[in-house]
Amino acid sequence: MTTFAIRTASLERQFHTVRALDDITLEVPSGIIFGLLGPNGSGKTTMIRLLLGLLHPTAGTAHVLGFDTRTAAAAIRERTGALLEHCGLYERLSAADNLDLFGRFWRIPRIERRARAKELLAQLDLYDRRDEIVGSWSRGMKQQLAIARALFHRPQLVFLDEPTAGLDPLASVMLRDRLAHLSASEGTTVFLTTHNLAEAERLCSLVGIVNKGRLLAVAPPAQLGANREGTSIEVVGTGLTDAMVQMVATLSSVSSARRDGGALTVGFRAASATPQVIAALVSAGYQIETVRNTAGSLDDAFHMLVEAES
Amino acid sequence: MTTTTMADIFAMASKEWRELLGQRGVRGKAGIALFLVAFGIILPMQTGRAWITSPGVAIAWSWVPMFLVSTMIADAFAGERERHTLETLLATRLSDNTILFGKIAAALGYAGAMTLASQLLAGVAVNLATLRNGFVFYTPRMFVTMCVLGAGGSLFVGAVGVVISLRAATVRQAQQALSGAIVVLLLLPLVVVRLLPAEWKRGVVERAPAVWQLALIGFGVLLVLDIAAVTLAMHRFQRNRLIACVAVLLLWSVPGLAQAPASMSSASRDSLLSCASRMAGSSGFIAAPGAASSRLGLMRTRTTPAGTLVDGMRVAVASKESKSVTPLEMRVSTFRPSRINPFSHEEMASPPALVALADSIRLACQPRR
Repeated sequence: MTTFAIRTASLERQFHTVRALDDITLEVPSGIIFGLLGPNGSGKTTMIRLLLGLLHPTAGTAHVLGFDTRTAAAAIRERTGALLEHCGLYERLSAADNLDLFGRFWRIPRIERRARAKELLAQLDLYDRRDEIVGSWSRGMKQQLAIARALFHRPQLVFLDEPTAGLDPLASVMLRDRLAHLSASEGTTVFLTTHNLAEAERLCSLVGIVNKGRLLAVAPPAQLGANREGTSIEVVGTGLTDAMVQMVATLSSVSSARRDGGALTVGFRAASATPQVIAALVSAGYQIETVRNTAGSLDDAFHMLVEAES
Repeated sequence: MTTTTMADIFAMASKEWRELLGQRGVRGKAGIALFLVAFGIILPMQTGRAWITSPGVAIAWSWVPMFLVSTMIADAFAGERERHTLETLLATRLSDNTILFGKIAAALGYAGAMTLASQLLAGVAVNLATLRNGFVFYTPRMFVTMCVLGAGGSLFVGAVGVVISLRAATVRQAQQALSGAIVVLLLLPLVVVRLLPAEWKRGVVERAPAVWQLALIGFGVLLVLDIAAVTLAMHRFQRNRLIACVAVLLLWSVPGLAQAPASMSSASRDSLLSCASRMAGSSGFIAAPGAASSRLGLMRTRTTPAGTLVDGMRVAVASKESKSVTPLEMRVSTFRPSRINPFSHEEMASPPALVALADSIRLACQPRR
């Protein structure tokens, strides 16, 4: 029988006239890595705050590890770890002191605290710098330490709000491996929010897409991508201008065109009109380097869902 | 109160002490040494044996721990908010009361230790200075009076300081408000006495109680004030309330969800903005020179001087051209205008730089097509 780490029913949170979360019904099985994806301001952080019992829902219910967030928030926080929007480290303290402090908060005996701090800092290759003041560290190092702090007391469920923000690619891969190991070997449930769709696709066994407070879809990443109709391409090159993006968006076979740094992602209504788009871009002066079909990917599914909602 | 709760409070307090020592560095330690020299050696030696034997001196100096508490307690929540650690702290398993009493205990412990050390030092200094007249030390009654009055006053300042720190957007704001409150508190009895009719004053002087009785009355008053202040602090400190106010502002500043300024009634908007600006230390508003702040619903909202922008701060901007607050989801670190350094106080202080910053933000937050 499947047990659920998180269950919400018609969860809603309103801030004055703004509905931050709207009718969210979600079930996250225990022991998996769940990714909540959504644009800025879609309600991801509010969702974590509600699940931790830091905010009360305006309507609906949420149960985390079997506890009601409204009536048993303390029991939830006892069993969970969290990396929130800011890394939340005490920058005047050393790395070892930061971990030790949170170990004390969770009433871990001193000897165990030291051993656990050594284990985690050694994994991060930061053990030799354990006595340095955290304020002098780079953002990526702080983020790694904050993740270690969230895992320090071996929680049953860990909330990670954009955990790879500020991490270099190597550290991101290491984190992904560690979370996968954590979930597989210790049965820890991981609830993470991210903008990095590729990361979610690789790491999460279940993802939810949220926009403007509404949960648009929940499915395994592969299934979510495969269910989409239509196709899309990603064009990478140099010299992309806003005028070019606008020009492509006005083509009849194109459903969406958006700029992502130096790359252009184009969604088609039905049949692919790739040659037409490429020709238009080349004639406008865009120097194309690569063209990649992104149909069926989580990225594609995400953008189609969010744009359809908008 | 269980042993484990006490252990949690101690863990919270020891975090505060470690941070305090870490923050102060060499300059801070010199400050502590200066305090001990002034209140433990110089002033007692100038006053002589009366420092130890006179009950009036003991009562008069019981305000010292109150000031020491005020220097630390202002940072309690405003500092956590400013340094972006508040939400992480609230997400731990510690209860509201544990966090609250841990913060107060830390300030009281610091003030108590400093006062005790200075008074013991004073005992030694006075005896060394007046060695020929024999050894004197605080009588038990005097020592207890100092401790009780000092602790009572400190607890009151600690609890009031927590309430102020919970509401203040910055540590500096909390310190200013708390200093003002203490000055009023100390001056109020003097003003009341001055306003009394002359006959009443004569009557009071004739029937004046002994110093120890006065101390006892003072302790009774402080006890009542302490209970009221601690109850108020417990009532005010609620996770849900703290987080909600931060979340309101963040949501309000998101494009698409940011209809609040236009659609809300002006009373609700003022209330929302005022609440958000009080509570959300991680957020700020910038108003360019000439911006019609009253029209923008910013009249009651403290605008943040651009020089106080810090990395990670979320901003909403009002420029003189715009008729409404430009809604945006923006962190200071995500834009770095080439013309100015957003983290430099000197450059930010000048109006042209502020306008440039406002323009840069407005350009950066225009929706992409």
